[in-house]
Amino acid sequence: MATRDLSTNDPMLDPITGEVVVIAPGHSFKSVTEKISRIVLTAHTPVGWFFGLLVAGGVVMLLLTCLTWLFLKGVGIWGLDIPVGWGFAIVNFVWWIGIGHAGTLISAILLLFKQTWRNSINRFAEAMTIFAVVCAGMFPLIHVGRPWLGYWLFPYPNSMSVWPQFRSPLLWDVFAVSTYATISVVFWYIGMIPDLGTLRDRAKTPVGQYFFGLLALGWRGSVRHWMRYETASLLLAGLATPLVLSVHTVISFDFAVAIIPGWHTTIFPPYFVAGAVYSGFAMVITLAIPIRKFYHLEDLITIRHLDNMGKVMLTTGLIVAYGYGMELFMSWYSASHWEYFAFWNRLFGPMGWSYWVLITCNIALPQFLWSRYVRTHVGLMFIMSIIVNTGMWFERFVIVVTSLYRDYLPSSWGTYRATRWDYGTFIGTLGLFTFLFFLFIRFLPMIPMSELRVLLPQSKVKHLPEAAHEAGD
Amino acid sequence: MTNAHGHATRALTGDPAASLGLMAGWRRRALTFGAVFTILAIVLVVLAEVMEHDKFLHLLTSWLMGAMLCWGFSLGGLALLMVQYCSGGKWGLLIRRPLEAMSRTLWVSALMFLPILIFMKKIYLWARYSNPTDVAQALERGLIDKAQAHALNWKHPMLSPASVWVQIVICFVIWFGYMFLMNRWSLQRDADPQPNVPFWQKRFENISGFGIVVYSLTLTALVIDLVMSTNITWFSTMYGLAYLVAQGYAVLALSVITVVSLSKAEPMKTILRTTEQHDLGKLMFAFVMLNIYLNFSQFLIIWSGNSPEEISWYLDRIRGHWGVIFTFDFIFHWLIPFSLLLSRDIKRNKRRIVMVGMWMVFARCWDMFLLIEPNFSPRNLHFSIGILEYIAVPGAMISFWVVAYIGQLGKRPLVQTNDPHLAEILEAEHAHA
Amino acid sequence: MPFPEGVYGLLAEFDSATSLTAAAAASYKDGWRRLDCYTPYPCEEAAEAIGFHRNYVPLLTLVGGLMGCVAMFLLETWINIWAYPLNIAGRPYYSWPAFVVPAYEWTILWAGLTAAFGMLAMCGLPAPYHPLFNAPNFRTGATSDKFFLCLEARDPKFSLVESRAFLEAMHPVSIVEVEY
Repeated sequence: MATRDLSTNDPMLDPITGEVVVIAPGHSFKSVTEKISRIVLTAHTPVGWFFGLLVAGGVVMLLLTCLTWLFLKGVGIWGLDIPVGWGFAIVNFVWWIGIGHAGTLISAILLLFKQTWRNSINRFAEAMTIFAVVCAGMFPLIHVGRPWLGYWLFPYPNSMSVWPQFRSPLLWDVFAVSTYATISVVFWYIGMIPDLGTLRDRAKTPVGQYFFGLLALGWRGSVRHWMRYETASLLLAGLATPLVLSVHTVISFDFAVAIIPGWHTTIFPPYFVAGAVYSGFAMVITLAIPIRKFYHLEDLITIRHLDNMGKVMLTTGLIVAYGYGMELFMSWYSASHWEYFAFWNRLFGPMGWSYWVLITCNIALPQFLWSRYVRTHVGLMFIMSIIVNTGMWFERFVIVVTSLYRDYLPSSWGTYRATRWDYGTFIGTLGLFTFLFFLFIRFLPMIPMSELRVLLPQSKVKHLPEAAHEAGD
Repeated sequence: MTNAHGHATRALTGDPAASLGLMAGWRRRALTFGAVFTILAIVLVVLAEVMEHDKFLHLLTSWLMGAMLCWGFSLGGLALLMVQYCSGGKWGLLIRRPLEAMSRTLWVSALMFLPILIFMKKIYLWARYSNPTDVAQALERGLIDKAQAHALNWKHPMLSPASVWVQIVICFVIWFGYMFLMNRWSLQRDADPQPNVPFWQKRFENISGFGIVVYSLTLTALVIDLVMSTNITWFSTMYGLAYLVAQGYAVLALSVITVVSLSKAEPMKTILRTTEQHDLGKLMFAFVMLNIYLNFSQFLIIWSGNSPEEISWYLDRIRGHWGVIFTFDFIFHWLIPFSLLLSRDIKRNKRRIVMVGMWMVFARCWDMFLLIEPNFSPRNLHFSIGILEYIAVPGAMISFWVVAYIGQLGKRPLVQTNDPHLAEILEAEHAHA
Repeated sequence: MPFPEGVYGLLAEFDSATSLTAAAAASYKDGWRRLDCYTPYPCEEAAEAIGFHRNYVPLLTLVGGLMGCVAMFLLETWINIWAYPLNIAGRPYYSWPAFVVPAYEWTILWAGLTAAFGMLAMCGLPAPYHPLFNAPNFRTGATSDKFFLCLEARDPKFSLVESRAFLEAMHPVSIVEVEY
């Protein structure tokens, strides 16, 4: 507990107030604007970017190949069979959606809590949300077998006189995920309008001026507009927060509403949400660390951000651990043979290894985040984020597969083995995500300039009598 | 006067004696309420004995309700204290001393648990039939059914008189430890001649971070032992978490009531700005939402599963007249505070936000009634004198707890002075924030 | 409506939010009502100074959200009771707990869409053309680091000479006459 010496020398703490300094000192409105808009408006695209785009694009080709083969042959090319009817597709779906949630949460909850450190990372976290939802949304769609009939999921008057079944969580999912995708895009775009205005005014090429001019909708920074804009942003943040909670809750209902031991448990909603935030923050770190290095944004995405995100990961990781603990405890406390067996099998059955991978990656190793040294060490945080991402993927694998392959009736027990097409599709979505992300950081402002300006000390309006006094000097 | 940021600040002046006067008034009122409720409780208990041969069952169960509520305030106060040290934010400074005062009433709730532990046989099946022979006999005589017998034997390692005693003693030892350190350091921090801001921040963060983990686990253990196990067969993995959030709901409401009511006098008059009151209001709103979220999710999962092991807990609360109580529970602890707290004006108005806070505390009591009593009169609620004890006994206990709370609140200055947030809070505020 | 011609207003440039706010407050006090401030980031004080205190985005959002909620709940009820009743594991046709979830999602969907598009509509956006963009210093500075006060010609107090003199008294960096 003796941190007296260590902390008083912390350069990111204001020595007088103990407040966190989020942007390195010495920036002006102009320099912030310049630094961020240059990345988008420059005529000299870094070679590294082309290289990255090329590699990611190659992986997207893999995805397209897998999808083409899937559409030709059907879901039989995957390792799905009875009793495990939900394999990689659903694991990946839940994993991707979870990753998306951190983006919304960084934007929304931290905005509501007036945590200004979010301002440098919220834009690309939101972009991450959208791209993750793109990857996630694909999986249930291709999993239905005939994706070209996907519109049947929506309630619309049709010649078959058939309507969807509203007591099924799978249908709730349709509404949750489509709402989530829509609101995320709207939130992201609305948040970008002032910056698009900046880019419009600074673009040198006619194409850039036209493109950004169209997207900026004629934003001119009137204070009246700003006030409505701020209200709308806060409202969207206020709506996005319960939305994130509800989306992952609905996904947890996909499992919990069924009465399969290992799925049917009431802790699922909060623990899915916490798990989503956990993996999402891990993904933000995975992305932020290379980006800040590559584009020299260390002034804007600081060690303080890593520290804070590490704390969020630790907190959500502990909630997730509480969830695992309660599941295990209740499988005993329930006094139900089936519950008890499901968990014994999960821990020590033929696929028990996946559970221990999960525990190692999600609970054991992240305990290092208690240490300030780890949280403020760029390399270690990157490793930690990869570990957590892996762990959270395995969590969904454990939930989906190990609950299904041995259910009530031993005669119907089976096993699960993913095929190369399963792996190909999963790796392909990683490529798609990266591909979209590369496009984003090149063509849109990845850090909100207007919000960074607010963080600068000179943005504050001094009280009028004082200002008059200063003018008098 | 200007501070480092070049903003005009207000000074923390004025006589704190006015606050003490306010508190003395509340204390007198609480004592009066306590006396009235006690008399009422005695009358009801006697009537229940004479007319209904209640055998003190309702006295004990309503005592359990009162003890859980008071304990919720004291331990929940400690937990929220730790949360605000970790989360930061100016609202935390405002309610820090009230939360500390709540935590220092932990001994009151410890005393309140004693009668429950001593007379546990009256309340809990697991205490009445604490070994396989007793369980077998009870099953033979038809006092319990097969599922209950199985559950009793299975859960014996956790739910037996000795085990529960040990668990509760351990829990309280831990809580007293945290309570002692948090309160002691808070005074030391004020007495520190140097600001030493990062040092104190880290020190409190370090103890609180781990403390919250310990709190979640110990709270889960205690509520399973004392509340969930009043229905021996039922289980829900969300129970501990839902209870935790509901506890936060009540504690936050109580601290808002305290702080806003104290703002009639110095120093709260200066300290409590509309901005922070608004923030506290938003936090209340968040807890209202979180509470209904957890409860509705639990309900939806169990309702959809419709399996006999779980659904009975809800059937006990929906069938017969319990349905009315259940519906009111939903209206009271979600619909009303939700609709009120949506309004920005209500969150920023002192009198109204106190009303909302009081309503939330009341809703929590109602909810607690619904958690406990249906396990003793499942499927239908019949009116009896015993039921009325649920008003009188917890009423008296909470009143006396409030006396202890206000006593503790008066013992320290109402604002912690060695905190950088103080300077910020003393700045003149924006017109709208 | 004929295309307006002539002067849109006088645009004064300032280099800090503080001096802008002071100038805006002075103009409002002088009786100006058709005026606006332009800042590169939200500046609440300037909005207060020109008498803009309250906006109606929250109300609109509430209405939108309620409409979404009611619409979806009624749709579900209608489908499950009248249009296509199904017996699913013995659950009642009117399974309100299940209906809550999509209704909740639609509440958020419609509230969010109304908040975003309502805000744009109230601001009169999209408006790709605006006379202010004719001022060169506005184009280069309004969205990055400059602060502007515009006294509009629509205000009855407006007069090219006197208004310019009024603005000059506040020591702006520059004053530009903006044409339509």
